[in-house]
Amino acid sequence: MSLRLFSFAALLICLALYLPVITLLAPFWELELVSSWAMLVKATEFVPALAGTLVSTLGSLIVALGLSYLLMGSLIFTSGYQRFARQLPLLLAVPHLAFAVGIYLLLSPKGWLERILAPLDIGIWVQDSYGLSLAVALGIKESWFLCWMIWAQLQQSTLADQFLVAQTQGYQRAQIIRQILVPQILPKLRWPLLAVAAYSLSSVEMAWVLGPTHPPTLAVLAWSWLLDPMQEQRELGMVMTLFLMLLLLALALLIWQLPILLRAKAPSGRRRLGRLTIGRPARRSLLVLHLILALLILLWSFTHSWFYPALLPGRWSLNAWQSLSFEPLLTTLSLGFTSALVAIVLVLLVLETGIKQTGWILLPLFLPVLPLVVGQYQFILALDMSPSWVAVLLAHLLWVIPYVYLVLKPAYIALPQEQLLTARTLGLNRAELFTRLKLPLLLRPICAAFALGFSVSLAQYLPTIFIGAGRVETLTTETLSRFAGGDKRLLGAQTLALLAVALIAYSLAQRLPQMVYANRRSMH
Amino acid sequence: MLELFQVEIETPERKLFGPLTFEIDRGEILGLQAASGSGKTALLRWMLGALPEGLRANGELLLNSRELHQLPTEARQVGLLLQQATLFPHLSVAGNLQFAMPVGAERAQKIAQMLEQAGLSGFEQRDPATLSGGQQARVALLRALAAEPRALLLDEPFSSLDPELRAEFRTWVFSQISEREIPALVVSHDREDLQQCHRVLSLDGERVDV
Repeated sequence: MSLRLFSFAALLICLALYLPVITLLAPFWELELVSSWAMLVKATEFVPALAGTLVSTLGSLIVALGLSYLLMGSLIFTSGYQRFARQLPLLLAVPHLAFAVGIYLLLSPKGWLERILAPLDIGIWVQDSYGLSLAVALGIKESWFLCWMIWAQLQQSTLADQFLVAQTQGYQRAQIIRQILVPQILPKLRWPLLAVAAYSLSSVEMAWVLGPTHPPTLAVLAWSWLLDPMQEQRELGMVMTLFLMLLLLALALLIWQLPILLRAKAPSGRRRLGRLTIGRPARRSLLVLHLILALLILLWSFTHSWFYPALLPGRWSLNAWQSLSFEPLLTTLSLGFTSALVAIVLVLLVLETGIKQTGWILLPLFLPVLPLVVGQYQFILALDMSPSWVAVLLAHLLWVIPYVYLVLKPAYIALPQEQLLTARTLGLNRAELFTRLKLPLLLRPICAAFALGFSVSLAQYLPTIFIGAGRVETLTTETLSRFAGGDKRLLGAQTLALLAVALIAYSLAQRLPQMVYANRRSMH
Repeated sequence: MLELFQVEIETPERKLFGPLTFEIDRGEILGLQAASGSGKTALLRWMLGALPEGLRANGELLLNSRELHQLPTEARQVGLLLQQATLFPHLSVAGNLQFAMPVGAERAQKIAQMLEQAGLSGFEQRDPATLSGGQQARVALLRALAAEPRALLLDEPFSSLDPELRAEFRTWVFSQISEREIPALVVSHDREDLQQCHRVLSLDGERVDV
């Protein structure tokens, strides 16, 4: 079979995996919408859950956008800029759930911060009814994604030269960022912002750990209704899922207006002082926060007893580690490895078709997870598949493929055309060109895509629990069960395992190109 | 007058050039001839206060007897014209010029005058992306001059233009520099560009006959 045939086969496989996206609204056709809407609006939890969801989603967008503005604004085109850019993938590799658990251990009642501030008698809480703690945690976590997207924009444009030209005209950093960079970058950030909104709106795992509880956010509420044995409640869950999509549509309209709403005034010519230096301490503080969270998770995992208000455990033990099951680790590794590998092969082959309109591959990132999982479940039922590792793998691919595409597409486009042409004049056919030149040249982005794909698979909760029907256990599903169990020692050990797997996979993927091309400096 | 004294730039592995000493008088256009990778762009970046990461420089830079090399880029009053016009794409032609001009009441009138002199009358509201390469280059120079720089650095400023346009644009640029009586340093590979300069130096400070 020729490479072209393989490519089109990959395209068809992708389309088949994307059927839940294509038929997104199909599961809702059978609903009696009017009566279901009436029931939803009458539900006592609806209004407070909506308020918590709006605060956490809009809040996370504001925090993420504000932080990325401060961080990138003060760092770009400085000596610390490349170092920060190198740290971003590592920060992105930290699973959302591990970050949320860390924040929970820090800020929960009798958490570490309350212990430190015990003499002041200040109550510090997560799971506030307004969803503020969830908003801030989501905002911090998503700001790395936005910074990464901004960095990608900066790599592809003449913004560095424009920045220098504006400097030679007497402007300082803060003004150049506002007048020159933001108006050009913000329109291109609409899609990443929509992805942040979609994630924040439909996140169940982070909302469960840090969000309001009575009632929870709309996504968690919809999730619990969808799992209810009563048909009526399940219908309510479906309507809520539909409502989440409408909410995302409204957010999309708002995001699309952002460049107009935040438009800078026409330049007056006045050179203002303003060095925008807050980003450097902000970056350091956030890095320190990550280290503290990791340390807390580590401490709890080796704790035997830790009474309030002691700052360190009173007795240490390996009990929590000994009680961990090995199977979720193996399942996580096999799912992450296979889904990342399959996604890389599929995406590369789809790019090889030469079809330019492949942006649809990113669609799952801009849609709430719940309706997609419901759609996947319908297809699994239609195919008469039992809940299994393979079913969960197929489910994970819907989110792993777009992230892998996000990394590989720009690298594929940037392949040096002169070298490809030279190789063809040397007699290489299409398949040889792909295997002997493109793949080696793409090794670094392939490894980066693998790390990202692996961490995306690792982070999947809803698809794993819904499609696997609780029979496929991963580190993520186990971490949430430990959270529900309430034992912080077991939670610490499980979360540390989750974090360690994510970071080890990231480090290996980072090192592979350096090992393979040890004496090829431009290939690192 | 723009003065460089004992300037040398090095990477962690090797010295790129130097020590280099020269001066450029008011209204003088000095050409700098150097091979690719020899460090001429690094020199311009150093003169602007934006030396790329990983490079190290020594030496002194004075503009009208004022020490520059400790000042940030925005305080140096040294203009820059690059090979690509790098117009701000979200601003109109007038917006680009307005951005560079100091605060003042008669900016609209000044912009109209500048555009007229450059043969671009009525282009105020045009989107930079709709201009030809030559028109973009003109707006870029007008923008650089609008900030009223005390010196101008030109990094391969004509190389993206076709040969006919190149000669015409070069003559216009050089006349604008002479009119304003500011020192200018032109880095170019092109023999004709260098022939039109008042003097040409190599990166080791030797005078070159073009």
